[in-house]
Amino acid sequence: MALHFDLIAAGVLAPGIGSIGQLIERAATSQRLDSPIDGTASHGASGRGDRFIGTMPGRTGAQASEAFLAPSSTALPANERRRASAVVRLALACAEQALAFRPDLAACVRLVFASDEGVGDVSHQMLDALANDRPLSPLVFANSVHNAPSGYFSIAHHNRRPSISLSSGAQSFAGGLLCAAAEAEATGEPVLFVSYDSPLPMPLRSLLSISQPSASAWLIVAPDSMPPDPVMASFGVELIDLDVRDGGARIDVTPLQRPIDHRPHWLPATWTSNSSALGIAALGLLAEASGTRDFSLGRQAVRLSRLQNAS
Amino acid sequence: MLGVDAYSTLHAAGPDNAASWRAMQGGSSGLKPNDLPWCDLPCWIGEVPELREPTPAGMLDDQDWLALLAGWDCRQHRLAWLALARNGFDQAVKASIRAHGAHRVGVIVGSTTSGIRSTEQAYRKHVARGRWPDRFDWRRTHSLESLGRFAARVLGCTGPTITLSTACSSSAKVFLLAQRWIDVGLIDVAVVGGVDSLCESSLRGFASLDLLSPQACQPFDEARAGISIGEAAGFVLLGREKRATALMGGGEASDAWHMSTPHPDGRGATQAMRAALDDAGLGAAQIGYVNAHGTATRANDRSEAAAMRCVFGAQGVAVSSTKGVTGHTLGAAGVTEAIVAIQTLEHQALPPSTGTSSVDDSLELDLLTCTRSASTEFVMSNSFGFGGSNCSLIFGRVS
Repeated sequence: MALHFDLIAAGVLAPGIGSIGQLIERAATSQRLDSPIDGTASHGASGRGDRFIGTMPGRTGAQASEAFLAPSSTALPANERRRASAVVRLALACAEQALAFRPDLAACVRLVFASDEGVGDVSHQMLDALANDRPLSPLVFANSVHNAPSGYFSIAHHNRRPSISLSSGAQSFAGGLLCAAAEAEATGEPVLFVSYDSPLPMPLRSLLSISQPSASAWLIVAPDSMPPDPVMASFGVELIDLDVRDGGARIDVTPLQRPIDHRPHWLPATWTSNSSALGIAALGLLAEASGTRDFSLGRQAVRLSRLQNAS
Repeated sequence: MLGVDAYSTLHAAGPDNAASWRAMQGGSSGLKPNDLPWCDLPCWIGEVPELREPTPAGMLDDQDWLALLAGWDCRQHRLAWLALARNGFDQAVKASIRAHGAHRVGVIVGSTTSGIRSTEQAYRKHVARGRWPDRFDWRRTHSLESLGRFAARVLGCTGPTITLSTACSSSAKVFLLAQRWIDVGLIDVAVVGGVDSLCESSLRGFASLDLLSPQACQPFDEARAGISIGEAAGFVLLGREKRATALMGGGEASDAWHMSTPHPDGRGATQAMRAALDDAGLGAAQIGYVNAHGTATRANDRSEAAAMRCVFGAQGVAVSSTKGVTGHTLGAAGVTEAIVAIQTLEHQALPPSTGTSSVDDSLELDLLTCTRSASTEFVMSNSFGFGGSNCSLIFGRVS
């Protein structure tokens, strides 16, 4: 059983990586994120057209370790923009980077948003208020729902399509990817998949060490379901069983082609707890003609394969 | 279309499937004045009596529970455990595993609270002592995905497992995700469901929005004053095999309006209901009963009634809200009320709108005020949540 999708646009947002062009540059040259890159070389060095370069400026070098704040969505009405939390800004900014190339799809894509502890910053505010017997702010409560980012997205872009917000914990990128690929294939409709993590404050951060934001956005369609349009890359998604048993005997184990959940060395070590960093690593496949990545999902693995493009 | 193979429901008025249906039919409310020792808000709640601490004897003597306990113990998972162990549900899942293989059974569940009650207690201890309690296992209790992992572990399923969290539509959307996963061949069988448990966050959160009624909730009543929060667990086993009751289809839509207020005309709700009818290949006139979201807030009931008038027109449809029996079970509302819909088909009877004494005539609804026997082929169950997330499910009796 294999699913297939075409990636028609993508976005990425994290300290030091502000566009797909920068990500491809990093992946292709395998640099560490703490070494500066030449900004003038980030566009076109990979040989890809400007069409796929994101519009978000990134910060590199020493700046990458400073606090990183995604800009507010200009699509959100002013009153909602004021209410939006940091994670909402992050998810929307990344999504909008991808949609910059297909603004016509913003209102009609189905949404799959995946995060481990996405609204953790707001959860902390709520839990801290309760623990200290302080009154709870209604805005904090409204923003504490896991689907706050997708909700704000729908308001910003007048998107009334079906929308999923899910968590598979530390495997949220893999769970979201599987879900998004299934969604695209089952419905024949374009799907916007956003995988994100937003920094957690103490004391929550002592439980889950997310200190940097990271996000990737994948605008995907089932192959041949859209009018002919430039495609960034074609992918296959399979569900691999790591331990299939018949009675007590293990009967079929598909060998993994590389270490599972591989984090290339150009991802900072400080992102180890960010599930969405695996999404950024996966987009590194755009720097290769073809390739495969395996991601854990419970007792299985989600295998993502970049397929050789005809053009 | 998916066959409903088995189900298990657990809430304040229903320790099991049969007791739940008796409460629904009889209009017997499980709500009571809030007497939680850890939250003194003046409101009514739907508490599952077996969860009242200290834990009643029996659960922690259960060797199976003890074997699974390490790290997972919290109010949320005790509630999940009770539902998974009852009504023959566990056995039905094990039969599916034997037939298809454990890796072909997916688990798709919904929750808004997860095990946050334990985190609330841990935060208080952290404030007092500057460190976490020794036995606080955040990943296995608080983390949203813990419910799905816990259920899969209890049942022995090794297929893809995810947890949705889209506020009050969470455990309704899981049904449609299961349909799509089975359609594309990811899995053959799905365990869908949802659990939400009582916690300070929900109670004080809804209170901060002035949505918490001081009395037992009164859906669609002219005097309605907000919600009563309940806790519940529900699970349904779905597969391709033909069964007496089937998921005919469903629809989802977003309001794209406001994070905590529904669209005044119920446009997202209308869209979801119409999409459900399209998906099931049915006309509005073929629906014999609607289990409404019916939370008893002034805004929801008004916009939901507007949406129903749009979809069902002047002819209308028999409708009731059963939140007067269970309370608003939030992330578990979708599955809890889907099970009510399934039971109306099994029993060929429609439950009344418990808690409603004086129907708000301005809503123009054909509200059931007492139970009604009715030859019914298709029923609808609606769930509309924060962030404008709307889901409508249609179940049918298959001859």
